[in-house]
Amino acid sequence: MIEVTELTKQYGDVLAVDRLSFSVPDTSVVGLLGPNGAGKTTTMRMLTTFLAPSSGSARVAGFDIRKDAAKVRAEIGYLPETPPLYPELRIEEYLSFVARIKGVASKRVASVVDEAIEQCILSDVRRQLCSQVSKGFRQRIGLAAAILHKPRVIILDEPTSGLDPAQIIEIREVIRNLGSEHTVILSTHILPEVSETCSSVIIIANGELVVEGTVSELTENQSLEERFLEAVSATKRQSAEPTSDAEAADA
Amino acid sequence: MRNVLTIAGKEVRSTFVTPTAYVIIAGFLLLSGFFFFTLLQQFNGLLAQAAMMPELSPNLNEWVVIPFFQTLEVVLIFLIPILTMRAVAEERRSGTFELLATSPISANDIVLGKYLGLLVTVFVMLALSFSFPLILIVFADPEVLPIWVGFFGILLFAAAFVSMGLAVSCFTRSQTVAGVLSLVLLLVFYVIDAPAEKIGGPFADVLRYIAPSNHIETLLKGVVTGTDIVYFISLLLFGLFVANRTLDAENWR
Repeated sequence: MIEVTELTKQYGDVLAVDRLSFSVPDTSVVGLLGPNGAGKTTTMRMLTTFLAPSSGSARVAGFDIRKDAAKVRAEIGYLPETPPLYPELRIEEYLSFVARIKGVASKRVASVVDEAIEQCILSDVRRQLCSQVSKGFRQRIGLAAAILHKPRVIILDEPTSGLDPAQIIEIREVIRNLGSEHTVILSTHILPEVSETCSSVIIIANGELVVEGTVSELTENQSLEERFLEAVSATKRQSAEPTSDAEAADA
Repeated sequence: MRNVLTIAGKEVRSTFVTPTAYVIIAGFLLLSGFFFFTLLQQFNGLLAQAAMMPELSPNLNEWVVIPFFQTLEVVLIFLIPILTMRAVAEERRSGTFELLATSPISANDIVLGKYLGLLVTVFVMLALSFSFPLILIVFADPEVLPIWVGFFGILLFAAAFVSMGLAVSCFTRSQTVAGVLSLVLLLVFYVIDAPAEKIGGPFADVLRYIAPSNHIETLLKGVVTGTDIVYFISLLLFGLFVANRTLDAENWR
């Protein structure tokens, strides 16, 4: 459902994402894990066609992100790092606007919005302005906007940031359920999040793939924390000589 | 088309649920009302003189209506940048541009939607300011047709300038930069034929053709010519084209 091949993004001299390749199967929840500045957001921005890759390519929902950008956009739901809200709109107005630009048929807009409001537990605040609610609500509005049109692929950039513990539990539940019908890729640097919500993990550091595997595979002998630290320090040691770090970390 | 209307609707709503629209419209009406009053006052003085010198025969259209529309042009040059500066720049700054850019809508939908939304505000503003010439039509006897043609000219003028302001707003993520740049651009463009007389030759003719004031002049006199209408429409399309190219090129940087 998502196939990434040699995806690279260079900003001037800085290599943000370096020949990243991985694939995400249908109806699964995959965690994109990495320390801050690892290239998670850049990768997601390329997958959503917001940024063009410097080289390499990817297919999302069967469409090439370079050649068929318009078709990719029709198949994805995306929650960026900062939820893209219009402060002057009411939450329900905002969600109907999003539904329309996502191509939901006019007569279905109201029901689709109601459903997303229900799913992301926003019923109590639906008449409030986007600017009046707390960070946790904004995150949930962004999530509602990403899933309301039932896209085949859902891309979430740090979906639980800014939420309180109770909300985190609720949202993880929502994301787990999404995995039964959609392909979900989410980025995070919170390790427990991965074992809670994801079926498999991709760890990247310094823009390179370090480890890829299912959560059960990776946590067989060690904890995810150990695995993560080991993987990340391995790229730091090796960043001078660009060899395949995935193999080094797996050995 | 549906996407264009969705974005235009959102734009109008955003402008009218915040104070932006009301402040700009009120400011515009205050300024235009003030200038209208001053022009009327001058005209009254002129009438008093004309009582002693009958050969003066002051004309209401020439002394009040045309100068009124000309001051509207200048007021528009200052207020249009304030209206258009946030259009796309603010989307970029707040991150909502990421939502638009990853949705199944084209750059064209965004540009046309934004443009229509902005036009609604500007046309509401101009329609309200038309109440001043309307006072003349009701209480005095100006030539009515030139007033309507002149108003049409002002609408065209505003439509062209809004499209240029929108194009500038597509280039930056800072509202201030967009506002100042559009103001400078519109102002220079408005007086671009000023050096024409000294320069002379074919280049001067080009400058005179480019300058909007020469085209709006004929319309304000009540004369509708194809070239002037084509001039404003092409200006408008050029602005939209630049805006569209800017947003479209975005993905391929």
